[in-house]
Formats: sequence, C-alpha cells, structure tokens
Amino acid sequence: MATVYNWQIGRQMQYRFEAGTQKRQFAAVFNINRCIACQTCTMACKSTWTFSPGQELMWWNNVETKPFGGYPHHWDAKLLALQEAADPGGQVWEAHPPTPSAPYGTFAGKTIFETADGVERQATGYLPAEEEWKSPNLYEDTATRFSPGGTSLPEHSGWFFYLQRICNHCTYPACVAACPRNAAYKREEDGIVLIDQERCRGYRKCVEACPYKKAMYRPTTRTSEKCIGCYPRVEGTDPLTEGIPMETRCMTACIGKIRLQGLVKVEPDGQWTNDPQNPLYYLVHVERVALPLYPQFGTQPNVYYIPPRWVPREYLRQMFGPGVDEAIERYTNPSRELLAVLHKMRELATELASFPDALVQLRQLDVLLSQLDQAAWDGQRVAVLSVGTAADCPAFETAYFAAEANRQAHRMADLAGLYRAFGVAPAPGAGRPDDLSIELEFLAFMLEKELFAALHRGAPRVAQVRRGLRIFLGQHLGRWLPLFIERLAARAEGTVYHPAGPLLRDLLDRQCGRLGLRDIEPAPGFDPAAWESPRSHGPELGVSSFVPVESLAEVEEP
Amino acid sequence: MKRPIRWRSLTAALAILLTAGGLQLLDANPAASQAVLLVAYQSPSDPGLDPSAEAWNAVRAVEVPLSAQRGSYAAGGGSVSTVRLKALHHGSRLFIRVEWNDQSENASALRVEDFTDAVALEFPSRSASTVPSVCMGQPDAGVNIWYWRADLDLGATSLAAANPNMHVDAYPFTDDTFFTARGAGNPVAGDGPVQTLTSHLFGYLSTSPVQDAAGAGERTSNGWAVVFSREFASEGPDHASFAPGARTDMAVAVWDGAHQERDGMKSVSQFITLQVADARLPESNGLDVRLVVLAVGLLLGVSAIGVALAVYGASERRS
Repeated sequence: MATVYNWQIGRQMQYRFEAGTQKRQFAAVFNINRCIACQTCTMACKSTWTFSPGQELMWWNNVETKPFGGYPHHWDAKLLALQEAADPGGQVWEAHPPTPSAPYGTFAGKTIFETADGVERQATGYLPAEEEWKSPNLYEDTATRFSPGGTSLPEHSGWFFYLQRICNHCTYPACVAACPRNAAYKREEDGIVLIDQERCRGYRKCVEACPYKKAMYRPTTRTSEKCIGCYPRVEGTDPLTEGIPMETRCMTACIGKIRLQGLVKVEPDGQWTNDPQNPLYYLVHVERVALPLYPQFGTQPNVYYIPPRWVPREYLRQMFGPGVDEAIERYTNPSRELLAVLHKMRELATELASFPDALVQLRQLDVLLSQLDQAAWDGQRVAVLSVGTAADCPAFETAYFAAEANRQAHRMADLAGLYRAFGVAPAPGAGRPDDLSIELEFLAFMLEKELFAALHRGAPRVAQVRRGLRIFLGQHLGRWLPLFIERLAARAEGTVYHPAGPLLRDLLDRQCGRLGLRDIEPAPGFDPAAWESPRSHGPELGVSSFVPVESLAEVEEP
Repeated sequence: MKRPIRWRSLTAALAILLTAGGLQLLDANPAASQAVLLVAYQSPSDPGLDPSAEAWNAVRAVEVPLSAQRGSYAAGGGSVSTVRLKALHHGSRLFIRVEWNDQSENASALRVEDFTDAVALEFPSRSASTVPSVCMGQPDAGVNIWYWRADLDLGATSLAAANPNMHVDAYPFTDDTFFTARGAGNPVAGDGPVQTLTSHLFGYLSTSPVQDAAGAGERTSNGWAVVFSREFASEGPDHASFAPGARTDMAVAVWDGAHQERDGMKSVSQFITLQVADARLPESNGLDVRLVVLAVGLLLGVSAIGVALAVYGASERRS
C-alpha cells in the first residue's frame, strides 16, 4: 500500500500503487444540462468498438436516466450501500473554504480502497450479474413523480436527468488496483486505462472493483474489456485522424455539443498543473463548475459534470460532492469568460485537438507583443526578415533557390500561373508573387476554397483544389518553408517572429500530412555569401492582398 | 467404587471414535502437512486421456489435503478439501489423474457471474536453481503449471446456445481481430481445455510459448476426474522434466466455480513428491497384502480388547 494524494477528496489516501509517473491525463467535461439522451454517443461508441460476438451487452458509453436508471442496474446505489455498511454514519464531508488542493472540502469517510481488506479485495465492490447488464435503458425518462391530473408551472416537483457515462480513466483506478496480474494498467503518456487482452485471464476482479462498472466481461473470449478512451484517436494513430490527435468518438458525435475532452498536464502528486488557458482546467479548477462523479469513492475520476440545475441539491451533493451548490450558482450566473468558454465549447475543442502547441506559442507571442511598440516591431522586422540589411531570414521563395538562378523567372511565372488558375492574382503593387505573405495568403485562400467545394460543389471540385494544393506545397511553399523556419529558429530568438516558427511548422506538417505529401525535396538553400545584390530582389516583406482575376482585368483594360 | 471411572474412559473412547468417524465422513484430514508420495509406475497399457480408462483401475489413489489460499491477494478458496491422485507412465509419457468431489457442476463462464470448475498441477521448472515457492514460484526458481478448465472441455461455450432467443441483425466482422484477446494470442480465448503456463511469482503467470500439456476430464457421480499427460522431455523454457527413476515436486490447485473461485481464490496443496518409478505397476492379485494384514491385525486387536474386558468384568464381579 502507498499513500497518495487525492485532491477531489482533499486528503491523502491509501492506494495499492505509487503515484507520480504520469505526465498527462485524459479528462473530459460533460454538461448534463444540455443532454437530451439521444444516445448518438452511445451508438458512435458501439459502432466503433463493441459490435462483435460477445459484446452484445457491452456499452462502454451509456446514457442513463437518474435517479432510477443505471447500467448495470443500480450500480451506484449498490456501492453506496456497501460503503455505508462498512462505515455506518461516517461517509460525510468536512466543509472548509476551497483551496486548489482541496476544492470541495475534505472527505471524512472511507474510500472504496479503505473499506477493503487488501487480501480478498483491493477495493470494495460487487460483481453485477448478467441480468443487471441486459437492459441498459431501464427507467428511461422515469421521473420521481407522476401527477395524473397534470401540474402547472411554477409547480414542477417531479424530476429526472440524464447521466452520460464512459470510463473515468481514474487517476487511482480501482480496476488497476484489483487486477492480480497487472493486466489492467494506466498509461503514462495520457492516463488512459486499458486492459491488456493478451494478459487478461478473465478473473473479473476489475469488473467487481470498478465503482463505475466500466470494466465488462466478454463471454466469447472469457476476458474483460473496457472503454479504451478511443486511444488511437487521442494518439492520432487511427487512420481516420490522418496523424492529427482527435477527441473520442462519443465526444465528437455528440449532437448537443455537451462534451469537451482533452489532455491536462498533471503534477507527480496527481494534481493538475496550473493551466488556466486550458478550457478543461478552467472549467474544473478556476470556475469549479464541472464536478467529479462520486468523488467519495476515491478513485479520482477524470470525467467532470456540470450538474443539472433543476435537481434537488441533496441528491446532487451525494453524486457530485459538496461542490454542487457553488457549481450551479456559477453556471446559472456565469462570468463573461465562463459564458464564452461554454459557448465556444466545441470550437475550442476542435481547435485545440488539431493544434496542440498553439496555446504555448500564442501565449509566448502575447508576452512578446505586450513588450513591443510599433517602432521596435518595425525594427525587428527589418533586422530579421529584410535581405537588404541582414540577409538573415529572407521571406521569399526564390532566395532559397539561388542555386537555380536561371530558373527563377520560370519559378515566379509558375506561381503566378497557379494563382491565376484558381482565379486570383496578387493585387497590383502587392509585391513579388513568391513572398511569404503572398504564399501563405494563397494557402489560406485554397483552404477556404476546399471547404466551400466540400460544402457546395462536391468531390470532383474538392479533388481539383487538393491537386492545386499538392502542386503548391510540393513544388513551392513546402520546399522552402522548412528552411525559412530553421533560419527563424536560429536568428529570430527574442523577437516577435520567433514563436511563428513552430506555428508555421505545425501548419505545414498538418497540411502535408493531410494531403499525403511525403518526402518533399527541400530547396537547395539560402546562401548569404552567394547572394548577389540583395537590394535588387525587390520590396521588403510587404502588405499584400489578392484580388479576383476578373477585377484585375478591369484594371488592365480601362 | 470404580464404576464412574469406567464410564469416563468409555465416554472418552466413544468421543475419539465419533471424531475419527466424523472426520472420515467429512473427508477432512487434520494431518495436512504430512509428506505424501505419489508413485507413477510404468503402465502395461496406454491409459490415454480418458479418466475412465481401464489402466487406472489398477492404481491406488493417494489422497492429498487442500486448504484455502490465504497467503496473497486475491485470497480465497477452500471449497474443496481433498483430491485423489493417481499417476502412471507409458512409452515416454507421464499421466496424472486427479479426482475430487464437487457436487455442483460449473462448466460455463458465459455469464459474468459464472466461473468454471478447474484444476491445475504445478511442478518446479527444470531450470529452477532451488525448490521454488509452492506459491507460484519465485524469481530464481520458476514453476510449470498445467491448467484444465471444465467449460472448454465439456461445458458450454456457445453464446447462441445459451441464449436461444437472442437476435442480432449482423456481425460485420468475425475474424480473430474482432475477438481481441484471441487476436492477441491469449489462450484463455482459445479452444484448448488445457493450458501450459509458467510463473516466477504471484501475479506473473505467463503462457508458455510451448503448449505441450494435454488433458481431458469427465464428470463423475459427485465431482470431476481429469487426466493430464505430457512427454517426459519438453522443449519449453521453464517446463518441468521427468524421467524414470527421478523424483520431482508437485502441487495441486482446484477451483470451485459455484463459489466464484478463480485466480488466487483456490484450494491448494503443499508440494508432494512425485516419483516416476523405473518399474512396472505391481501385479494386483485381487487382495492387497497390506489390506489383509490390516484386517487381521484389527480383528486380533478387537478380540484382545473383548477378552480383556471380559476378564476385567469377571474380576469386578468377584470383588
């Protein structure tokens, strides 16, 4: 037995294994208030992972109606009763003002680990019989009261709500503690809890110990299986992700947009690293509007719920702990930031999932910008990007093809032709067509064009745009941008341009990965010594904009 | 007056007799730690894997006491108190027959609450540097385990048969990838009733790359009889090896599905000695000499006690 810290119960507790090896933790926020129990999440999970023989009764994601529903039947009431029997009258919380390491007070009772003997059981629990798994939606939409004569507002005393449940990928998982042979384990890199199907011998100690009953027995393989947190998607190794980490199926399929999932950084003691820019951290730790499910069980679950406003507090306090009153107060009267985060819940998730380092870079940029005035910024631009003064990081394509001097005109014409082929051209006076700003703007234009084609024009048009993008990245931007980024990393240290390197790298990798562009031949490279008469190469990095070809024609033929 | 003393000794004798009889009836053996020797003689015929094979009738069973596993998580078991062991060898194969009483037949693990009856034999690995711990071996001395489970041999493994009213529209894929544990090569998900396993510590039970133990069981009137068999020599790393004239240790574990026994929740024996005798099975001539000697001895003893009591009674009456 080791002593570990559980911030959800505000105290140390006994656990079978040491804490401290984990770096990031899979976490999610579910807004119960917005769920309509359409079960799209349930079917997304089912049709991805549990459609094979022996998995008929398996629902890694389920949505049950509280207070009467439950999958398996009455899983929570049964465990609460076992805990109460083990510690009669003692399962209570000690209230005190919130602190970062004890935001809901301190749980004075016993966790499921502390009521177990450690010899026969590592955690108090029970093995639900097959019958209890067979009707996952029993008591669906069953309210606590039924008035045959009907009721009229404001009287509305009957209540129920939907509880969305997946594996909590607990920080101190009971299934991992209970497995006698370490077949159940928790990953260091993201805290996802898995059962090794090669090692599992079907003892079902995990099924017995998991308080949330998310480890399930499969009779056709005689082993236990569980929610895998869609780890191939979280890793970005699922072919559908095209290399980009994604949220789980149940999160993205949610039509009510009630779910938000990501990874949070954790400290060696299992507490979350202070990271208010992360919406999960913000909702759980700054606003404390999202709460863990049955924190008193002691496993430190990592799915957090915004509790339903209309449900009697007594019931909610038992289910989500003493943080309920504050959470509902803040959810009902949200701050401007909270309102923004709740409003942008899905958009944020999509952005963050596809751009993991963006926050770090943007924060760095924010710091640099706050220290900068217009004159200093201008100075940095000339010093870093201008060929005329320092020849450090030339921000145009042909500089990196100096070795092919005889083909530079061809290269420029090729670019201009490509722009024209897709219906745009640099505005008169915008500068050279191989300028970084022009090329990036063209990339943005093409991405928008692709999106429009996908929405309104169909597959052939999408393919056409993608062909253009492949030519553009494979023969132009993709060949020289990596060299530019390298120079930027070496020479722009301390300037406002420095954070742009990783962002550009991310953008390029993402686009090349998505379009299947591999092993792009790099440009010959920029050699300042061989660079003759830099001033002859045109304007500084300029303001540029594209205009439609048609309007250009008007300008040319007055 | 000596009468009360006589009553006291008579009561004591009766109590002893009742206790002995009771223990006999309950199959309990208080002398659990006594050394037990199981001898495998050479069988004139191949006993095969059939627990009812003729060859076993000529072999006397050795009764081995079992107890609950209390040493390690997950502790439990103790539902089965003894097993009856027989051993033979034929050709270059060793045969061990295990029989035990278990009123409830649990030969299905199709429902989450169902656990199968099972039995396992444990031997020190031939590469063990010392006698391993009977509790799943130790890092420098591994053990070799042969494990038989009732459901995969004689029981129900068809979900459709167990749930005749089940309806499924379609299973899109049915290759091993979609039976994840089977796809991963886990023998628990395979079809074989016997698994060859090795272990170097509690929690370190592993599937051996060489699956060479065979076995088959049958349901008896009040329990199970299972025959295990393997070639004397084995290629498997950490496997046991046997040879005529050599001795090795052996332990037995039994799981009773009715009490949800699995893993460490089992009834286990201590190590007993298995001797592979370089000799043929002694011919049985109908009557065992030892039995005869025992019967004659008992008869003489009882007569002597009767005579002594009669003499004593007579002297009492005289006084």
